[in-house]
Amino acid sequence: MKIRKANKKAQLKGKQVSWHNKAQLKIQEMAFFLVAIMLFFTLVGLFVFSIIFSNLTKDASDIAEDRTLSSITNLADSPEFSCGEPNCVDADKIMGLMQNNKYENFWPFSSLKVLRSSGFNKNESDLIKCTIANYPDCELFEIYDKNVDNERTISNFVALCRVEVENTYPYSRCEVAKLVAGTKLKIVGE
Amino acid sequence: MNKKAIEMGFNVMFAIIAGIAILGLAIYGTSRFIDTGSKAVSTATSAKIISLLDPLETGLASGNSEQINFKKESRMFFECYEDENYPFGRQTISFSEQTIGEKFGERGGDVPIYNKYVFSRNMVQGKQFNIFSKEFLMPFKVADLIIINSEKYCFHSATNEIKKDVENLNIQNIQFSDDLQNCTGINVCFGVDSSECDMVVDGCLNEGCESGYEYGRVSKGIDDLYYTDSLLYAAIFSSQENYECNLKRLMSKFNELSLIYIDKIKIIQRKGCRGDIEVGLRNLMNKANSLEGSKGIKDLAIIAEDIDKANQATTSACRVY
Repeated sequence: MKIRKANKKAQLKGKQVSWHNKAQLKIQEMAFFLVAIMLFFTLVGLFVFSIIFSNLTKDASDIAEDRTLSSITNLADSPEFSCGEPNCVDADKIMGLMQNNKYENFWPFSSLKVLRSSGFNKNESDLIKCTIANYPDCELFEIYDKNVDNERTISNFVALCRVEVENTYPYSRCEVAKLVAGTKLKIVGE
Repeated sequence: MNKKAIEMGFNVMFAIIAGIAILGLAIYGTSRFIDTGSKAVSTATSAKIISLLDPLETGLASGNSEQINFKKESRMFFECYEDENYPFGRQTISFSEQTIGEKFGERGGDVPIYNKYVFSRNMVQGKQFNIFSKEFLMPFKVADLIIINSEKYCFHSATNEIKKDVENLNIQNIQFSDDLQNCTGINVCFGVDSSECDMVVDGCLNEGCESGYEYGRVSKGIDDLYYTDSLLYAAIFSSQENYECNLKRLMSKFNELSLIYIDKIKIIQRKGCRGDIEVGLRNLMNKANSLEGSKGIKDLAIIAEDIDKANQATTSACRVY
């Protein structure tokens, strides 16, 4: 009788041990499964976010370009440039504007230049930049240039006028020029 | 032992707790994602609104107007900082629109405006926004004043000149009436002080000015805003905070423009032009620099008038502006 009782106890203990092991295994399985699910959803989330944010960067670039385009069409008529006629730029005012570097933070452009017709077919390195010393015998009025990478430029033809003198009589002399404005394109990850 | 009790194994309990945690995280993540998305859309809308303001630049015209319509009730928030982005100052615009029911979505990010002068209340709400622009001259064009509003206004006892001005701009939400009983919306009384008036515009008729409202004061309860020329409209449609801040920004722009004109004077003098507005311009610059608030704007307008007379007196090729 004593031996039987001892055997039964041993059997019960063995069952308890195997039940314990099975439960531990199930918990581990469940934990691994949950970790896998979390990882999966995190990766899906990251993927969705990367697509959405790449669109946002594109949207930001598009808006910046739209702004440059809509601004440049009105720029010639702004008080800093206007000669008093529609789409006409005052070269004498530009010389003053070039002395003033505060305008870099005023317009939404990364660069702003006025190119005289004599410089239309020349490389930028060959152009004669305007200074107080050589004006008006020059080709490029560089109002400012932030020297950014990934810049796209948009230009607008304008009349460029300045005061000239002939036989001691001052008159307004005009020619064709190009108002060139640059926008910094945004790149994903920048 | 109670045999009616529900037996719940460890697995079930663990699954319920973990399930609640995962669902909670998913719901929180989704709501954050929607908030971020709506904030991004609102910020992009603000940036697009700034582009829509570009065609309002008047160029050589004296004014321009347009309407922006939204499908849902929307809010535009404007803030102005005259001390930032030296010397021009800056404004910011942010946007939010109604989402579910009466609730407004999260306000989008502040988008900066550097080269525009937007006069409005601090918050403008509606589905239809009326925007118009007027050039600001002192004595040359300094900038375009862009005025945004969404409410109905009634101009009581306004002069014919003001009526013509508003009609030419085709502004739809301004009604004219000589009887306050027929007025709806915000009552703006010209030269008349009545309890029904929301604001009173005083002009310069007693001082003998030409049109009656070349300079004067707009009283809005405890706030008094002083104006000259087209600043009259800016004073009517904007909050005191916005008006005073933008006026300081305009004065800074005037100073920078004056420096450009002074350089131009030196260049054209070499070509034989004889005009003498430099002294007057420097005097006006000093006054504009020291302008504390709108109260001193009338003195500046008087000096600007003298400069304009001197400029007009020279030959057309030698005019500075």
